Amino acid sequence: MTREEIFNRLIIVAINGMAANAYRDGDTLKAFCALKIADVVPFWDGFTDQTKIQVISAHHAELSEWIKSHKESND
Amino acid sequence: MISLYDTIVATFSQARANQVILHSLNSLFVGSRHQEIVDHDPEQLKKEIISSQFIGEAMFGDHGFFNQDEWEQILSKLFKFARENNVDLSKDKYFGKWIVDNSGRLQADLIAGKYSSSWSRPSSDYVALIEAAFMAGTSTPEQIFRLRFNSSSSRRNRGEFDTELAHAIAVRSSDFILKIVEDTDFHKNYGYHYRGLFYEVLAFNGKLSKKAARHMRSDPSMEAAEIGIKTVGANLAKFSNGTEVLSQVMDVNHPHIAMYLAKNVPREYLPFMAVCQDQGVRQEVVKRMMESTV
Repeated sequence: MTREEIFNRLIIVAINGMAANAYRDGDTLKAFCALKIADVVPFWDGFTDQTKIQVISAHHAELSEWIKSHKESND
Repeated sequence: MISLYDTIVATFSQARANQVILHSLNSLFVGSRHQEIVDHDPEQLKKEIISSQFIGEAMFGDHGFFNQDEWEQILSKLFKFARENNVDLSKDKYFGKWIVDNSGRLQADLIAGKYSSSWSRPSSDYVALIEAAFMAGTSTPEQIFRLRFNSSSSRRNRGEFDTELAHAIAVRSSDFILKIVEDTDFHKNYGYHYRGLFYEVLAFNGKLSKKAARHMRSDPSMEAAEIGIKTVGANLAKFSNGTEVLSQVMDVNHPHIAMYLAKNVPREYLPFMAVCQDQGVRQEVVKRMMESTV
């Protein structure tokens, strides 16, 4: 792994940890924001499916909006 | 590829970026009640990280007000993981400098009697200090062994510091410890805490001789024998003389230890245990052998 890959991976671990803690504390919005940041380098893999589904369900509208805008900016 | 580290440096500061890296290293290597590890393969990631020679930059760079005790714990865990996975941290220039700068602290601390009482808690970087002393060659394992584990102090309780130190010595100089365990007066010279510890580190590295295994089997302390024999059972694959060692310990006088072996040794070793004197142990061996043939 290159320096960038190692550091990206570590930062994603920290962000996902942050998201998991926020979700556990009931702050789903914070969890969602952290996951959105983590998605700069797509990395939903680390999250359990159940948590992903719960976060997505809680913020479905915001997530749809974000995916739409993200897609548009990529286009 | 986007560099998240450089993005955080540009948006916030170098210290903030290093703090994020340290939080991540803390959750991966130390484990924290407050932070879940979220990665699809943390063990593989740890190996990649420790071999990368990149993390010294974040570990020893400016990390603002990151908690010093947590930092030292991470440092110790990194050194321990490196030792257990045969990675030479001194190749990383930042770790290399830290090793040289701190290589004399272990010996100085021991001479000053820093860990002489069993209730004196070592600083959180003690594993790193142990490794630094040996990696830099400032102290030999034999010198440190004599300083810490001499006979006169051997009635001490064994603490975490002793456990880590003995493991670090055994990795580098197992023959030295082996000779001490093989000595005819070994049971007289060392208290049972230390005897158990020496059996454990030798067995963990697969380095017991027939004679040492016999001393372990006949140890007057059930606790010392149990620690050693259970470690043998868990590490048989590391031995070049596994069956010989097993044959020396399986007739141990404490049936529950023999039963532990019967229940836990890999199946290929079971035939060697079938001649055990204890009927209950023999039955367990036969039961497992029958299961393996089904």
